[in-house]
Amino acid sequence: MSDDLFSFVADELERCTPLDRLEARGTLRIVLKNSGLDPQSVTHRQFCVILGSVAPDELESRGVVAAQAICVALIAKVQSEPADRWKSGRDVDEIFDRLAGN
Amino acid sequence: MLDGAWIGQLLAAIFYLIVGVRLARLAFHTREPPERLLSNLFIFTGISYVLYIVPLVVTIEALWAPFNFAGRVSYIPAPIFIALFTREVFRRQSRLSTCMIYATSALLVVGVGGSALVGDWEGFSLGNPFFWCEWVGYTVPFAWAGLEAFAQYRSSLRRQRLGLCGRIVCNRLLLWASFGAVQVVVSIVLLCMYADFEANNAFSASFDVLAGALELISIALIGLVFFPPRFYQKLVTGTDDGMRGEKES
Repeated sequence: MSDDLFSFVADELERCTPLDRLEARGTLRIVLKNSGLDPQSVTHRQFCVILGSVAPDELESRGVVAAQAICVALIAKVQSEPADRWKSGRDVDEIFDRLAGN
Repeated sequence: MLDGAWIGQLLAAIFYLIVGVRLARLAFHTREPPERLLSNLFIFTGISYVLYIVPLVVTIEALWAPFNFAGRVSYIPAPIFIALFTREVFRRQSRLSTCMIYATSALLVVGVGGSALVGDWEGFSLGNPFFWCEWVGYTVPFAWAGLEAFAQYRSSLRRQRLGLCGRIVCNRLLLWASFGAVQVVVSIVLLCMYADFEANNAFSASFDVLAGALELISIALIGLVFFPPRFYQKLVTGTDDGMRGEKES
């Protein structure tokens, strides 16, 4: 059982595509980096957004067929899990939003 | 020192104490470490500034060195708290950041304690190796905070394009990075100021003005981070409802 959100999505991606473990994790890391996110602190909501926007193109560029559909399935999978299932790092944006009393 | 410089320093002290108390109230409600750490940073900075003011207003020369020393001692926690905040927010799982906090704390304690042991209570003497321990101890945490915040600001621009981060938060990260950078410049100016003091046995008015101007910039940056006026939020977000206008979450 995956102990963090990143590993959970990477395992699912490996299961649904011809990518091996290293490729799946590497691709996800690139997607996160290009989106300004960190594998250790990415949240549920952020993962769903990038799976719906950045990830399909990145997967297609690696020869994954039906990348869009796979990403939709991954979003559904992530959303079906409770948000507090994984321990994640601090959300920097949320902290800096809160500090001004918002 | 310039006549009346203490008034500016007193206002800065009051400002930092207000920010500290406001963050303490926020921390009381949220029970989150980042605001608690920042609250401590600003409260200790404010207390230290108040102690530094005493030698500027009291004419009894015998009190100058003890109050300057008390100011130095009460400032020791401030750089440690900003380093703790940086680790908590930006590098939570990094061992290197924990080492950075221990190193900073050790440098500050050795610097202040060591210079007192050799009789340099005010810490103005650049020839004293303990001065450099203290200087590095209070400069590096702010440089680190600035660099981490700037790196995070660059990432936040990418998140902003995806609608994951509001413009006002992006801007706040840039302001925090700028605050760290200004504090490093202040440290460098203090270095020049002390060198000048050693050479001429008096503080130069131009360094006083420069340090004051940098203090004002710091206050403005902190004000925009923690008390952003509505017009500024509107300017950054480009919406009438600056606070919520472009915020997705």
